[in-house]
Amino acid sequence: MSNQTFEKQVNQTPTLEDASLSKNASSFNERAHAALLDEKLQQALSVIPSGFVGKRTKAKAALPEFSELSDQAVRIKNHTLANIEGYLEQFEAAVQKSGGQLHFAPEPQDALDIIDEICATKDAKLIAKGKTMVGEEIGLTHFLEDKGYETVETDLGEYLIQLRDEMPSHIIAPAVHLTRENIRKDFLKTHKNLAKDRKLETPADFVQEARHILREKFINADIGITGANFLIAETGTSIIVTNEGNGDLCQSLPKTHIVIASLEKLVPTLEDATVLLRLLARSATGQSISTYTTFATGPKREEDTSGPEEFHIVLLDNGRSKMLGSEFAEMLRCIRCGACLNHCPVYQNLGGHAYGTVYPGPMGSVLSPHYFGESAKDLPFASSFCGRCNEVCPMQIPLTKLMRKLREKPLTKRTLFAKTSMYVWSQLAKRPRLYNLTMKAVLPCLSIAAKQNWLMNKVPGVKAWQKHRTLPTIAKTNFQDAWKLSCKKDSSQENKRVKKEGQGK
Amino acid sequence: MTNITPQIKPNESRRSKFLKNVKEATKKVTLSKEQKLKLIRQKEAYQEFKYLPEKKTLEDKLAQFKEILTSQSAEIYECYENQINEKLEEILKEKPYGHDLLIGKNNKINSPKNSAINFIEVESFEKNKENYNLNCALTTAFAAASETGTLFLNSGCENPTWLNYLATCHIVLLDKNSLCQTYEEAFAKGKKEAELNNKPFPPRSINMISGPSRTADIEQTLTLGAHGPIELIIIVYTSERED
Repeated sequence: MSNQTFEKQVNQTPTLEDASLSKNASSFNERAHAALLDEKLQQALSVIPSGFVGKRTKAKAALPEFSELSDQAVRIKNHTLANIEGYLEQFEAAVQKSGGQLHFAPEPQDALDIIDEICATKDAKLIAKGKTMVGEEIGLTHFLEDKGYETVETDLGEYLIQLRDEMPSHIIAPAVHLTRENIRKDFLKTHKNLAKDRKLETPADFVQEARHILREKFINADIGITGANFLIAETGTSIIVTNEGNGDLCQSLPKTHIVIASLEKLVPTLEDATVLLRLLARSATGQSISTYTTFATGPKREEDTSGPEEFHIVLLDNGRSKMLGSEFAEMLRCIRCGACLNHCPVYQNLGGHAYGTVYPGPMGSVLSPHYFGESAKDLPFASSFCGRCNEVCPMQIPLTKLMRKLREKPLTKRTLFAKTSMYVWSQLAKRPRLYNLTMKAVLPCLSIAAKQNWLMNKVPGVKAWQKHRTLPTIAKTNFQDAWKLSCKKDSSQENKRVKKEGQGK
Repeated sequence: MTNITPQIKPNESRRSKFLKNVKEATKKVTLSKEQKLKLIRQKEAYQEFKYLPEKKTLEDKLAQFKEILTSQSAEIYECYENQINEKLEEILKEKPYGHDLLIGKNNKINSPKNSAINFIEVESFEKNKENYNLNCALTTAFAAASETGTLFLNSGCENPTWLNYLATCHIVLLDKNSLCQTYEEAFAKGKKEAELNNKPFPPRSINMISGPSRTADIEQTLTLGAHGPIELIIIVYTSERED
């Protein structure tokens, strides 16, 4: 469905009550509805198809070995996950050997407590934080702020949403939902020390101002926290990729460097990581590689004149080990490139906030129910199952298959009406003759009813449908009959061939 | 003895709970014969795989390297090894950053005395904390990969990592013979050098740099100089005797 037609249909009945649902909406449907009516959001989202999607296509085409690398990437992750116990132990030994510490955190609270403990021991006041989705998952920034540490997001996108106290709306472009107008207001409100009449118009103006403000934070931070895109078992290394260089400043200036990551980031060797790196940026932003890719191993060495004195890695489980032994294990291959978000027609129209969790889009619809349980139960239904996510996933994760499995799970309580109607329909669908007979009886009724809107509105479940669409006039004969008839009537060569093929199938 | 606060040690009960969960999960996986065979085949294919694009000559690599980095808004110059100083003078003359150039200790440059450039050798970041808005800094790459126009830099006292990020204008020296084609080759080179110098590999940091700092977080518009350098200048040098 194209963007425009979808919008038009919904905009037929724009009501104020609908828009006011947005902030406190508890279900995906309510939030989605509000997102479609939000003109500013729609304006901000309009850049996604032309930006990410086009650039990825070009970048992929420029690397002839892309699918070969993708196959290998799948094998690397499958192999690592199948032998995760051994690789965890190898990783732990390697981190310790290089002078770092590996902390295991089974639950989010464990990870938060560990980080709090480290910060408290270091008597930290200011924490500079790089972008980390695992950090978002456990609410790290809010937690540290509540504990009294000044915690600053240094990725520009994350900084923009920190000023607004919002959730990221995209896993690699957290502030993709904001327009310049939004950002201008926030900057004027927050950066009070700067001249009120300063120029804030071009993107460069905003970037310069943020650079100026944040640089001071890097310099004075006691602790630097980063995420990790990959962890290397053999060497105990954590890898981050950034375009801004913020993660690098977070991990090279402060005296303590904490990495927060999750267990599925592990790969066996440096060479395995390079295979994945070739896929990551191309799938994410359409660059051949991000500007900065940085490998951190242990604290600074004895002869080094700079670098952190302490290096901690906090490894989170939070439901991942459960996935490992389940039919959803394939999801652990995900490298968080965001290609499935960018190509998803549902995401393109709604943005990330409608999903209500930090992992939006198709990948989030599979992950969030595992990480956040009940509160994300309706996300597997937030897909049209068009299958573009499966096609663009560099790790070849069958996202729609996994979402379908989640839909089967009794996460949602079905009403008796839904249960019975599904049962009746499935019984009918399994019996072609009976199905045909029933349809013959139902179709004429439908074509009469279609002309009587008031009548259709009486049928349960149809009213909501009728609100935005009118039922098309139903054809007099159904497909099966039409097919049979055409086969009988036409004796031309062409139709005989078609018939044969049809029967062959 | 130095007075360092004791490190936080990992908690043993959390560790055993974590590993127990993982162990239980892997136990749960029961595979059919077919699936097991598939895994074995996958493992074999995984171990055999090598990324081997068509081999390029050094000149072709340099051409590719230049083309990609120029498209990423970096500047590239070539010169002979004994002309590096003149090249630097020439470049800085064109730029609005003055004569100061920050470098690590024991750098390749060897801080020539009669230069128009004021070479400043830095040690720890702490000592330079006061003026953190550096104009120009110079570091050395141990290798580069032409496949994506990427420089590889080690951390160490001759190459402090923070110089790569805090300077407005970052200048990188690259020996033409260190130009590799793939990431794997570049890492192999780093490993070999570390072994020769009896240093552990990997060092604290390896930085892969493929252009000046950038962001597209404001309305998806590409803007240079987000937190790191606004300009990246690369000097590829060759030793004179090369034929």
